[in-house]
Amino acid sequence: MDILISPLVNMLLVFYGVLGNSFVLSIIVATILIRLVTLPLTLPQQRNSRKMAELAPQLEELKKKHGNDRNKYAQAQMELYKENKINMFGGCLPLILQLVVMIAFYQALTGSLATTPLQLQQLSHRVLPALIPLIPIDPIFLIYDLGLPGILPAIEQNISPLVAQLLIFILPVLVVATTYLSQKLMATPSADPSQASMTRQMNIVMPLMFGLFALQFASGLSIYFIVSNVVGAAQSWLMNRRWQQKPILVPATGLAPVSKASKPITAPTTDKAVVSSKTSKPLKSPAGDNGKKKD
Amino acid sequence: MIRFIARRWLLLVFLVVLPFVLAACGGPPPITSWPGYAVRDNTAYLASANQLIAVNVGGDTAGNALNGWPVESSNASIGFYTTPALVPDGKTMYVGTEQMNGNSGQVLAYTNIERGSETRPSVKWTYPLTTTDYIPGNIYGAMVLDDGALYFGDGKGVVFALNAEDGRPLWPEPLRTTARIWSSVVVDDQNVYAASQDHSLYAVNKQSGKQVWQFPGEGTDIDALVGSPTIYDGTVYVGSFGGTLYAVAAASGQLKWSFKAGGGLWDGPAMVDGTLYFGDQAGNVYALDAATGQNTKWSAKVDGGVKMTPLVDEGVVYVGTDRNRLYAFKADTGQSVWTEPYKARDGESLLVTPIVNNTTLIVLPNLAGGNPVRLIGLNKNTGQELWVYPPRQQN
Repeated sequence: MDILISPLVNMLLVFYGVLGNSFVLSIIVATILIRLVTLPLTLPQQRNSRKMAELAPQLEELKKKHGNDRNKYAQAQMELYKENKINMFGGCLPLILQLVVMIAFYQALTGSLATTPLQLQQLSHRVLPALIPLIPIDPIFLIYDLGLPGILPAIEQNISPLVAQLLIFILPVLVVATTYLSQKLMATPSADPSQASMTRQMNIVMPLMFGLFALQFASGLSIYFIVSNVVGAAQSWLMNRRWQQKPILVPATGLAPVSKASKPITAPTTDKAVVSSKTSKPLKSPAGDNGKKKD
Repeated sequence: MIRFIARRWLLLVFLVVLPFVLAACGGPPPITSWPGYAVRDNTAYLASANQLIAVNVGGDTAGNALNGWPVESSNASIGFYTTPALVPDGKTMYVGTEQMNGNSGQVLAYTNIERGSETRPSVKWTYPLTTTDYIPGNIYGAMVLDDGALYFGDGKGVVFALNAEDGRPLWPEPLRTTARIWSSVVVDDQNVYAASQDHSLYAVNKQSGKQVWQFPGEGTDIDALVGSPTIYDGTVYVGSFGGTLYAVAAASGQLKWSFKAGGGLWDGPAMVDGTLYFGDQAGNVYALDAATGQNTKWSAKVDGGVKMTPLVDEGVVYVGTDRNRLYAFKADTGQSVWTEPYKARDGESLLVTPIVNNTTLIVLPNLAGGNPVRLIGLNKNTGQELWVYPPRQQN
């Protein structure tokens, strides 16, 4: 983890210096940069999910074909994924790597702000000599100390407890809202009811979980979540638009390909399972009868 | 189907738990406190994490806690980083507190702390005394007791003075700097000197609390001052995070000289017989002519960064590092006194100046990975361990 934290600490300090000693701007720019750098991880993950969603009608067909024989169904499913170059673990590993980056970023953030002497002691081992004049970093942003949860004690002491609670909840609420938006745009519809149900639950649980993090951890992390979610949502929106116009899959099997005309999967702005007569209709078409090659 | 859903839920639970696991595993081993201590009458008073502990450091029972100790803070989120101040009669002790994940501190006066006291230590007063009193930020520096007054700086960058008897503020207004003060202040007959992380050293009049001077003056910038200054013979010595040692005239705030070390500086130098002894974070130890700051008498390389003010005792310089080593050098030549440096446990850091009690060198390592605080008695001539608190069977 240290191998990630030290470069991130120095990156935050460089941005802090360049952006007029504003740590919130430093967090925002660093977050956008991290999103760009991790694009090779997130994009294949999104492509993978999209491919799986586009294959939903074929999977439904396979399910009907193999009935209750789960082994045969699983084998056929694997073959279908293999033929369409879908990595079964493609969605999980990038997610874990993103989590690792997030945790490293959190540690870099709190480490840069060094809110205790021990953190400053550790910072002294991480920071490049040229950046030392920037220390200590000004952690204040509006009513927040970016290195601590909640609002500034000086403000909290001078307002009513109710108003203080409302102010404390501003960032967590923004985190919940942007996480929900980002999840919603990223979620691809699934033909599998259990998977669709899982997606629905994830869309509720994940934002709440991140909202809880926002309440408990330094407010700088909330800024990271919000910016990261907005960038992620924008990325998903753009990709969804593109894939709506140009589906990814190339018809490679004897099963019905996905065509523009059939539009089996529409914009994944809903997390409900897409198993309708409308979507499964094109599967009845013989292979290749409308199968223009897709890019 | 049930198995499938269960697997999905397991994945979700895994993803939820993973951040906490990685947060716990990531980074260097966590040190959960930066303890402080003071010694009087063969008793060491430790302030560590959320406990105050009195440990016998002399005689056959050295390394054992006194009866009635430890004393716990009122709340688990309130911790002690400060070096306690002890009243000469040995009956009263002052400590500052810090609030984890926050920035508010208190000053506590404890009585009945002496060895053999028939009652348990109890709180005599707590500052803030009333709701209208100024609420200090986290207090990490030592409580400095001088002529009936307690002086300290806080995490809000304020220099403060309290009446040691009853905790009443002595100044109409505390002195406010523009960044936190985590170090200890030093005093002389006239002033209190405080190093602020706003890159300035302040002199404050002891009687009025008014600022006397600020170093450096307007138009000059130096790196942040994170460690404690020291004062000898009318000169305040303070090191910067960027690695420059400044010698400043206590009366005027004028720079006498500066010395560029090989690494960042934390606490100020010790001075004996016109020589300054200090170390930097790059692992260099220097013996410098205090008058000029030019002539390095000797220098040595140590394993790890130095944060503490070295201890100089009977011609030997004792200096610890943040990589758990403690060295003993001859003050005049820089030669090693011990056959090899003392090595504390892996993960421990030696950031606090050792104390000599008779022939015992008392060492207080920083906590490593949440382990209980340890206090170690060494033979000061050989560096061999004599005793350890907590005693080994409890350790």
